[in-house]
Amino acid sequence: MNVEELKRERKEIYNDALQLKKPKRIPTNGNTFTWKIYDSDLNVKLSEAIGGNWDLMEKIMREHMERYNFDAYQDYGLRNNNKPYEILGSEYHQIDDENWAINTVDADLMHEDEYHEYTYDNENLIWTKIAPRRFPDGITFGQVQNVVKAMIKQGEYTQKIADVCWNEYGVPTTFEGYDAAPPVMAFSVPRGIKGFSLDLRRHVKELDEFHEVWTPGMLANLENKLKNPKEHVLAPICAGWTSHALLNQKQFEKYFWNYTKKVIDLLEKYDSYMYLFCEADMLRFAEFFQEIPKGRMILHLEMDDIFEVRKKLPNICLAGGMPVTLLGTASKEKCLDYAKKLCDELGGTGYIFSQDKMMSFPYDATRENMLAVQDYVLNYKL
Amino acid sequence: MFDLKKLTQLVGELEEEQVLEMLQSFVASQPTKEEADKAVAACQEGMAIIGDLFEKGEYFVGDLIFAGELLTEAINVLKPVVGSGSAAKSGTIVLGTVHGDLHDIGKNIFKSMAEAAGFEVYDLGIDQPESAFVEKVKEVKPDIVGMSGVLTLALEAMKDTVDALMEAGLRDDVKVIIGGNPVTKEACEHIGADAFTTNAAEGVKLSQKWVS
Repeated sequence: MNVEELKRERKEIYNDALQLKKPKRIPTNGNTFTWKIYDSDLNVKLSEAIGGNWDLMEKIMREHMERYNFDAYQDYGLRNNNKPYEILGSEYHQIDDENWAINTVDADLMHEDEYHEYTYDNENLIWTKIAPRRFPDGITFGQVQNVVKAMIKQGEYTQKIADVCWNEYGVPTTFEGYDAAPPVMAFSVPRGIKGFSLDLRRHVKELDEFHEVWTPGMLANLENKLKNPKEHVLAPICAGWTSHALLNQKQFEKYFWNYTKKVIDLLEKYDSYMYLFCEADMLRFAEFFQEIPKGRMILHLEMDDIFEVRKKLPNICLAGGMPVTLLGTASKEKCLDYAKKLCDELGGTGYIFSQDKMMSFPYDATRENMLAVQDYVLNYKL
Repeated sequence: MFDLKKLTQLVGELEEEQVLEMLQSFVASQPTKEEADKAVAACQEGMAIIGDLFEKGEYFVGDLIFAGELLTEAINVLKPVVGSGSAAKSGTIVLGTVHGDLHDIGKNIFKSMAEAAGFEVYDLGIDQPESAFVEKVKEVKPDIVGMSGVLTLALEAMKDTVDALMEAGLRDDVKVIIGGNPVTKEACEHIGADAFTTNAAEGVKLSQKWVS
């Protein structure tokens, strides 16, 4: 198949899966993040690959696409870019080259009495208080310039790799940026997981106010994207939910669902859809999701049993399902058995084959298992 | 007369201001040690209510984090009036996040709930190598070893820790429970743990069964 044919086929099978129609074959999506660096035959260190060396990352990405031939990917080498942090002398990314581990530090950068400033004078708070706490030794103008240059290079790579994927490999970009999450998710980083959890009880009024003030602007940004979809991008908008995993039902409805309903309204208005990567689990919120009309969401699951979700949500295209615990430690036969189960039970019902977790570490999969499973799914007859 | 039932109810409802106000008045009234121990027990009963509401789905992780904080604050208020002698323990747990992983939220929730259930918990902290677990187990001879991790790399670190306990001849003396995002039945078997959970309340219940 030539590149133009691949482009057409991939968009078609994704659209069919989204619309819950039986596609020509099961679409696949590579949930492969820093794992692809480990898997590369270039034998580079993790710190080297995510240190803003975009020529190197392009080589890794090309090798990855040529080896596995996924129809689209969650990451094109952009995650965990450590260059800005390196320039600023931050230890936000704790990189362990020996163990191929990368952690980020949960930080309490915004104090609980700063909600009003965050809501109404966000930039001033970031530059005058949050940044100094993150960088207590101060930041020079030269460092800022270098960070801007590093971010420009990242932007250039983003455009280049999208072009390479689309025009050389016929691979669309799954989405561009995580911008469709509810406003309150903004706090899980500056307040940290613990701070945010405490605020959900101690600062309800402030959270409500922030949510009310920020919602219109955020929805307007999404509407702009929906008005101008790009040919090489599958889902015009995307959300990566993380802090829903802290919320009880009432909090979820107030802060997540009421906002998501407005996003769905926009998707209906523009006849479009969103990609939602739901970290942790979401089955306890299934009743809310039952309201979503067909063709408006691809829901990528991490910890949920995808078969149970399918029973509760026949109205939504699901992605994921292949456990990295099997891909990393089980035999090839066990992996293939599980892939067969996914294809048999979910293929054709609105399903995109992918790994459950964002693959980030060597143990997340062996190459043998990945190749065997991918080959099986690509050739599975629906 | 100090209303212990009210205290339990307020802890269960996560009413932080009212709980602390009540306890501050209580401490100011110069209670006896026996009365103070009853107040601690009432707080622990409140934590049990929280555990039940979590299992029913009314509370979730954010509420448990808040509850852990509330219990710490409550015990801090009561410290001047609670004696230094220890009450009867349910059992002892050595707990830690394994090597390579810095996450501790789940571990801390488990710790709060386990302490509320009467366990003595030795918390090693985060990013703990297998040797740290082995040394602590040798020192305190716990009933249970709890390992936590969120990253998938934690699974191998958990296996290394269980292997290290075996090598040190300690494995048969403890029950091992693993918790966190990546743990599954297959992972538990691979690691050689006795149980796994992604739910702190369930983990505490399992632990209670083991020591009963």
